Amino acid sequence: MKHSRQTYPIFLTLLIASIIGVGNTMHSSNSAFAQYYKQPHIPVLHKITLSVEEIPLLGGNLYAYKMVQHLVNDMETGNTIKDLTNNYESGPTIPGPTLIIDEGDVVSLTLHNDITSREKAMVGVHVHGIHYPITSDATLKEINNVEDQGVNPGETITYSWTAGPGTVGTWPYHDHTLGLNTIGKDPNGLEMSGLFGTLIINDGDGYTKALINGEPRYVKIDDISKDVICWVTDDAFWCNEAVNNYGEYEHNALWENPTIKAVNQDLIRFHLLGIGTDFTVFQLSGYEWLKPGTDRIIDEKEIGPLEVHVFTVKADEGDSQYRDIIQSHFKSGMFGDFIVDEMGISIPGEQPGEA
Amino acid sequence: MKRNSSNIILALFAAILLTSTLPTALYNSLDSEKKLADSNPSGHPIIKAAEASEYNNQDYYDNDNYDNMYSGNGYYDNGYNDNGIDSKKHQVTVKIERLQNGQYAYKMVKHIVIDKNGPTDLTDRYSDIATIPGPSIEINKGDTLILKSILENNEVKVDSIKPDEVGSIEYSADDFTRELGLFGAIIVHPNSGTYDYAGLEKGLVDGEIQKINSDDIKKQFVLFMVGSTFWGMEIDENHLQTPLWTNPTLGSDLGDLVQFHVLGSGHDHTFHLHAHRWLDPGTSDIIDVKTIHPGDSHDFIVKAGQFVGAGHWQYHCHVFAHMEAGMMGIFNVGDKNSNTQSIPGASPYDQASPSTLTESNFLTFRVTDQPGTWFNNVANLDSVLPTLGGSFGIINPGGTAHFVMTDTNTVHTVTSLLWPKGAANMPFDQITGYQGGAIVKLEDPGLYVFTCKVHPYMFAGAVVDDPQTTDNDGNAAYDIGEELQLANGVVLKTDPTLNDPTFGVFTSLVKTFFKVTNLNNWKDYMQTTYVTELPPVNVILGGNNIVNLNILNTEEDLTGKLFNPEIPGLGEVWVDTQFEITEGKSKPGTATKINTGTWEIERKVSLPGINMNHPHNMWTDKDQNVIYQTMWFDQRLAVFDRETGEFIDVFNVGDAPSHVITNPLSDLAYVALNGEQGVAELELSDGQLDLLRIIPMQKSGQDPTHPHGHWISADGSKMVTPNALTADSTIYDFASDSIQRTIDSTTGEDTSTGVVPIATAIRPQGDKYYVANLLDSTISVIDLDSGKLLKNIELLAPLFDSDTGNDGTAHALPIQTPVDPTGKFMVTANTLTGSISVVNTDPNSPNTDEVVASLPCDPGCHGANFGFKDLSQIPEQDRDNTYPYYAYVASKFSNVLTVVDPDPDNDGDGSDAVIAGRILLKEDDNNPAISSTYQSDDNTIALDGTGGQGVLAIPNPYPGWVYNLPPFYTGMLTMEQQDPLHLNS
Repeated sequence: MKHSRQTYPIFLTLLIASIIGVGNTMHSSNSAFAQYYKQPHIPVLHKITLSVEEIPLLGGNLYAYKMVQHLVNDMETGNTIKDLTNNYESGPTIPGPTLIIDEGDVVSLTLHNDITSREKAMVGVHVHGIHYPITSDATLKEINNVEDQGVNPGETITYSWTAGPGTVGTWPYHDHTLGLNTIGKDPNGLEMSGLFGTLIINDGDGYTKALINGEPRYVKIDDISKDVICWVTDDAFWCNEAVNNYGEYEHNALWENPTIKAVNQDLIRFHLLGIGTDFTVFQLSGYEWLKPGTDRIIDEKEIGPLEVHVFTVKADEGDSQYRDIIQSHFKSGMFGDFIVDEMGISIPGEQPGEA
Repeated sequence: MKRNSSNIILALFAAILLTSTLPTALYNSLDSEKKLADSNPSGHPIIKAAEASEYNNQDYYDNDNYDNMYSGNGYYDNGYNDNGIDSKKHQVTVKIERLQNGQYAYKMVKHIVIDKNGPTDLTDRYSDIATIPGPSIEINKGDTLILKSILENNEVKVDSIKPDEVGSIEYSADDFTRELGLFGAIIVHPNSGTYDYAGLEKGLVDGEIQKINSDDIKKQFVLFMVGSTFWGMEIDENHLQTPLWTNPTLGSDLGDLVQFHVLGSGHDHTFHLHAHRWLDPGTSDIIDVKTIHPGDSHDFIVKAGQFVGAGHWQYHCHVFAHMEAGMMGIFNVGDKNSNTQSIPGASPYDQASPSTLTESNFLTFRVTDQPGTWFNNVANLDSVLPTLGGSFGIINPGGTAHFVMTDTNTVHTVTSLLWPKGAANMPFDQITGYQGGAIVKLEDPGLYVFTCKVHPYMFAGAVVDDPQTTDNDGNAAYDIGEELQLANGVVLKTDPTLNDPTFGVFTSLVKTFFKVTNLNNWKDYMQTTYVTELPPVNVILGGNNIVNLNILNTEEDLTGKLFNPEIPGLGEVWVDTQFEITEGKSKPGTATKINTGTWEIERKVSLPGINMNHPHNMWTDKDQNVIYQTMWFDQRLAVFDRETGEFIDVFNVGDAPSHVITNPLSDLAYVALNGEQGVAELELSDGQLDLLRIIPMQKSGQDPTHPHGHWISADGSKMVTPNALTADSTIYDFASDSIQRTIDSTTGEDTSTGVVPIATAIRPQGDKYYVANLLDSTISVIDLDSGKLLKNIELLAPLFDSDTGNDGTAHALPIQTPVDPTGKFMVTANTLTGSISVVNTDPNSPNTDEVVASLPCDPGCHGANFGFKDLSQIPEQDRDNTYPYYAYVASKFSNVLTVVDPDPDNDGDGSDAVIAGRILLKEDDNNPAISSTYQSDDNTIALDGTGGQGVLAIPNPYPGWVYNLPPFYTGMLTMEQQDPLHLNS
């Protein structure tokens, strides 16, 4: 009895301490537990319409995807919850519009071919990572054994995608109307002429990993100020950015080798995607980051065609440079500034057809 | 009791505390496991079957005698190794075999596994023929593998490995035979012992990263990436292996667990599979594209068709040029439990008729840097039919043409130059030069010729022969096809009875093919006759006309063809004898120096210290002190001392540097990157080269131009490039750093110059420039200011016209085309017809931009540049009537330099052009024209004097360079030669 009265306060202290301890460890380090008390994401249907337009350019036209409409609809009722169309640029962009959705969402993607200078120019939207049936492969019949899943000028097609379990990540989409013998399909290789863009599927529980002050840390995706997407081709960085505007994204086209800006201490997530024939080696001077899926710290990364490399860092005061250090790429201008200042407003690079 | 209960309560709270921190602790431990895996990221060693090791001891490795392996030696005394896990020893013997088509492959001889129960023979798992990839050797982590290989000469090599990681490892040859088939996989599976929980693989299945029991994997697919082809093999659940050969269809059922092992044996690739995603080993990252460099391996598990359904899901390399070159196959996911079968692809074992000489329907060319046979049929038909040369092959309809770049330091395309009109899978091409290979099925009978758009004298020939069609005696006769299509759209008729003008082009192309690819058909001016011999085979031409190819054989009398020009030249001329084979190098080429005063060879520069590779084009600095030398089959620019021939510096500038020229104002050097998108700008200072920048000749995102033979205007303001792969030209303005592409003069829209523009020349007056279009056989005339295409000079079908002086001679495939320092004449080397054409370029001439003279050249007529005549050797009163220059012309498949005088009487009309001399370029002891002061840094042992391409005369006669010559040189020149533009008069 004496013992039990003495142990009672200790009892209580331990009880309280353990509850606080449990609470702290759950919150800061282990995302698996986080989902037990966060609101689960309710899947929605993204009804997206893109078009393909030409960008006339002496010496050879470029081709680009354009956002026509992006509606977020309730899956049960079909009612439109949000119209995101005005968050995008109004014209065609290289890279194409960045589509940001959550795990569990469904996408219905309609594509118009608005190329005017030729009668035959089949294009499509082939996507990586997200789930889709063989009828939405966006390849030619000689590949998918079903039918030609692209459209000639004036035509329209719809693809169906589902962000099912295991699809969280950043995935490319691009034209893939390339046959077994590519020449003669007129024109071929439009992925090389600007028809590429990005699909980001965020984790439903809202976390990703970042290197913060030299330590791997989970950060909330909601706390990321902007997603910077750069496609590394054989001759340029083509970028756009999605600025986090209270949960909705504002999409800015940054075009070729832009000046990327961020506000000091902001969380910035970089997505790098390669395309073409060359391999590139990416560096962001003055920064280190986590090798994806590990806690290893790296400061450069080789990126091969259609490989994806994503990392999140905290913007540090001062000027930095993003670049491809392969000699023939660097010496022909594949680099740009990453500047951290008060406003953090990026400056687009050269747009094809201007100047 | 109460004490006990309070202890229990304390214990309970301790437990709660622990469980709150346990997830973190657990997570941290998982992290550290990942850290361990990441600490050896490129982990896998390459076990090379051709290397010796400590196990090369016959006592230790005795066929069929395993008694002393485990009993009495203490190895398996207790049946367990240190970890307490059953580990085994594998003794595997493979044999190297040469296949019918000339490729190589490993064959399983015997696989014995020894564990505590004794030896078991596993040889039945494997195919009983040599396969590509070689046998897939499956072992478990912790096992020892002793791999013995028996080489072709019966030499034995032994290598061993004891892997401590799960995954796959390549075993391979360590020379070019690796890329021709000598590669295979060692697959290390987790150990299923009790202490090692990793009897389980990891993968993304059912939407989560999970552990998967190896026993649940239905099928394994091994895919090797090499060249631009997948070579595959299937392993079923009972470990039985089936070779699937090239770009196979992989069969699986919906929901089956399938494991892929993707390995690289040559060139750089990225592997992608449609509609699936998987765990990147050693991380928690989910991916669907993975870089595969040679020696890399990538293993992953998927549930076939999970969440996406059945279908023909494409797998392919995502490197764009490789996609264009055919690097793809199908992962066929069929319905659940339907037992979907894999379908093997084309293989060297595909049988063909005896007329193919190999009886294999799989033709493989390796791409090397060896002159003549840059595309080399690995079956080596020379021994069977010597006149066939090294670049020809024969298959039946439905056969495969396959290419691998095994020994080349540069980029290429594999492009169809000629094919039977309407043939399936033609045309075949890529938009950029690359490193890799190509594979294409040829369904229709006829003649096919492949080339490289970057190096357009590389040829690979294939006849697809229908074995049913024979000559009148029932013997093999090879189908050529009724009509053949050229890459530039022109259709050639092969029926000789039609008298169609294109028939002449057809026979020229066939003769040229066998001249280039058979070294015995190259022209040696030290012989008395020049014989061209074609293979004596019967071919079926259009209209079913059967002829023997040897009717195209020719013989030319060479006596008296060598002679020196009467008027000596001033200074020296350098010729890139690009094909010379020397003792000190593995790559070909030298630069040969001729003293034009004496017409003797004074020097050859080989640069063995840097293995100079195909020296193609030269230029000099403003003081004429150094020679800049490009290496076209490489990536480097070299500089050497002009006077001493000594090496100064070398710099890696980019793919296939073709031509070099300086800006007459800044003296910076500009090198065209013929394998890429632009021109490199370099500075030479204190004997060191520095790359300042690369100037793109197109806008970002446009097809890469691949410029070849550029030029810079006399006033240094503009540079022009012939864009070999985009069929147009770019004008670069130095001051504004801007580019202008060729436009139509009326619409102002894009226009093409012609197919494969290859060389340019700017008129020194700066008003217009010329672009030689190799395949179209035209020369475009373009306004230098606006980029407007003014005219295309037709070379191929000129009419006889006494007004223009055009004598109706056809010239085909023009290459270098310099305009003389006065701006009055253009001399063009035409490579197909082996002829030189002279065009009047003076706008005041009555026949401006017309061909006014034709002269004979040699096979592979290629390079040309002007140089000074030494007019001090002529009486003063005759100097005004003497044209002050020579045009020096070099040819690839002969060993002379041709000296042309376009206007001997200096009247401004080139119709009286003559051959002024021919100079032998051979180092041979019997060559009387070797100077007594001859020096060289190496020893020529073959193809002496051949490969003539770049030509450079010193001192440099062209405006604006001539205006900046040091006084030492101007002192030797006449007023006319010093100031050809009359700027100072």
